[in-house]
Amino acid sequence: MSTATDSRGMFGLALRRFRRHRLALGSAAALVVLAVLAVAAPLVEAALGVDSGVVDLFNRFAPATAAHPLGTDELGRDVLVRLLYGGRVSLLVGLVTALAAAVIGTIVGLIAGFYGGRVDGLLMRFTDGVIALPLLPLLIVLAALDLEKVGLPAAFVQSENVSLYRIIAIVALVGWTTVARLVRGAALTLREADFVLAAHAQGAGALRIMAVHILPNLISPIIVATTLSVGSVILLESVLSFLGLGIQPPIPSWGNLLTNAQELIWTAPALAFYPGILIFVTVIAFNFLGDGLQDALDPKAMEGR
Amino acid sequence: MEPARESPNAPSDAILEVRGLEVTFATDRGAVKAADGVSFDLKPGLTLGLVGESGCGKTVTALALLRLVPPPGRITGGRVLFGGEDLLALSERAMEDIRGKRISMVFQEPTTAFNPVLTIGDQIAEALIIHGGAGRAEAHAAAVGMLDKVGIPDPAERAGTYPHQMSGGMRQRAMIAMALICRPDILIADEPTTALDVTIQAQILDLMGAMQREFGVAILFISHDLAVISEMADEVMVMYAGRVVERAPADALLAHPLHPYTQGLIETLPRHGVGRGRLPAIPGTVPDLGALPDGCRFSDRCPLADDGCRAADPPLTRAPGGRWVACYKAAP
Repeated sequence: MSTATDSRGMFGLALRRFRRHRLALGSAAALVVLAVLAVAAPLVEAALGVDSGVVDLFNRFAPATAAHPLGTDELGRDVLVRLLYGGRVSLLVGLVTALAAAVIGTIVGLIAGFYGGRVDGLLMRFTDGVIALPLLPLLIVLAALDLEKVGLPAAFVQSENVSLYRIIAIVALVGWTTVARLVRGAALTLREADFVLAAHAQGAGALRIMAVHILPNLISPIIVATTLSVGSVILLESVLSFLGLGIQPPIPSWGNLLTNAQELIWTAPALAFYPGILIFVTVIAFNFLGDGLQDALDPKAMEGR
Repeated sequence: MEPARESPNAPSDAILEVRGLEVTFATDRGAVKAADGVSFDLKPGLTLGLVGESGCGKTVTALALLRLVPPPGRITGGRVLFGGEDLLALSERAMEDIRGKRISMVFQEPTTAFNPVLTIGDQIAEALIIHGGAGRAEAHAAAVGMLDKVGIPDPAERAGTYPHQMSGGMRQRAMIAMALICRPDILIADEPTTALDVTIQAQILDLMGAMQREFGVAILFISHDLAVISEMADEVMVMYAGRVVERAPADALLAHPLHPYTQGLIETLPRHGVGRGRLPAIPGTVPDLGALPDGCRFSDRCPLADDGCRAADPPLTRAPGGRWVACYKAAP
């Protein structure tokens, strides 16, 4: 009698719990709308009949009109379309970086937790070291690094998107520590589980036990941690871009749109307001979403409240 | 102790010969031997019962055969001869090829021995994929076939369910299917029925007997429950504080135990129609392995112990009827 409802499994139950979480649901909806609009930026551009790449000095700081729903910036470019393109970059950086950091952290944490002992000690001291690095100066140094001298091909270094790749790599290389610690702690517990002993007794090797038996048990906390970290990555990207070390113009990101607006804060405060509010909404939405996922995937955490 | 004196007149048909197995745990108070000079044979199609109280070294002995003793435990001596090869001398990689394929294990708690996030079918099929190089579909079909053999209804549908969707008895059946999927030569069953209801327990014992007849597998059956052992085993080995104290054919051991500890264990069995009132109990508890009494380890609980028992540890010696016992006072 129980199989009919049970067979939808844990994810069915999680979905039902998630749907009761209004704030997380709203956040998910907001993020989906933002993402769809960002992906559809060229379509919006075409529909409005504007070209955000073209400078039009006769049309600077134009008020909102039908063609420019949010007006134009100091070079006469459409603000709405620039914001959407910026959202593309900021969301992409946030998601890709959080994923890359989660992958690195999961691998480090799994190895440390599964093998324990000296391996664990070594990897965790290394993690502690990365955590203890003064982040901002390090990022500034890394961002100023001449990639051609590191040995990367010139064509790659001079490509327009290199600042994008650079920021993803930099933030992922320092951002994996949270997931590594989380995964390591859980793996330390799980390796003592009976089913891990049973898998050993079936002849499974270390790699197989880590990938097939331990990792699937950690998916929920990893998803939650990754979701929560997207918000902080977007913030960090905006900070770096604001300092001029992140995404380089003319590629717009919410961070460098904010930098531009800095000088114009008295003439055109709206130009700072729009990217600021988008960063705020996105970061907070990812945080609500992460909380909601946590409660949905791990009901025990909610009972404790 | 000399392993040579312990070794029985080993019949050549034994598939596994364990000689002088020693497992040591490093503790705060020094090294402690959880298994000390354990020797026995397993024969195809026959069951060796291993009985003793909690903490006497049964599970450690079983795990040592697969070289899965958890740290800080370590195998510090003896040989485990399987098909003429000493398993203790193999590389870890070669040992992985033996686990699950030639020697497999059924655990006490089917609830925790299955991975909660993988389907039953995937977990049963895993050993085939690891060892047989079988494809997913092929292994899955074999898993369904095995579930059918162990008496699970709707095996094709059941293979797709998760462990928590099954009852305890079903899970233990599935565990037996998992252990037997590669047709191993040896099955180690560590208290396979302890976590189950009495009625389910009988079904699982029947199933194990049937599987043994079908596959000719040798079984090492571990239990603290002499009643369960008496149903399953052809030969019984009694362990106390890391030592084998008595080994004998099951019928002979139950009818006429030689070691005072075995006698105590048998007296604690409730018997139908015999006597009333309180069941007898063996006084005291298993000694702390870090603080064993001098001489015979059972001497502080033994009604027959004298100064000789407390002076020297009795070796496992031959007794009439293919039996072995480690006691100076063994009833002749």
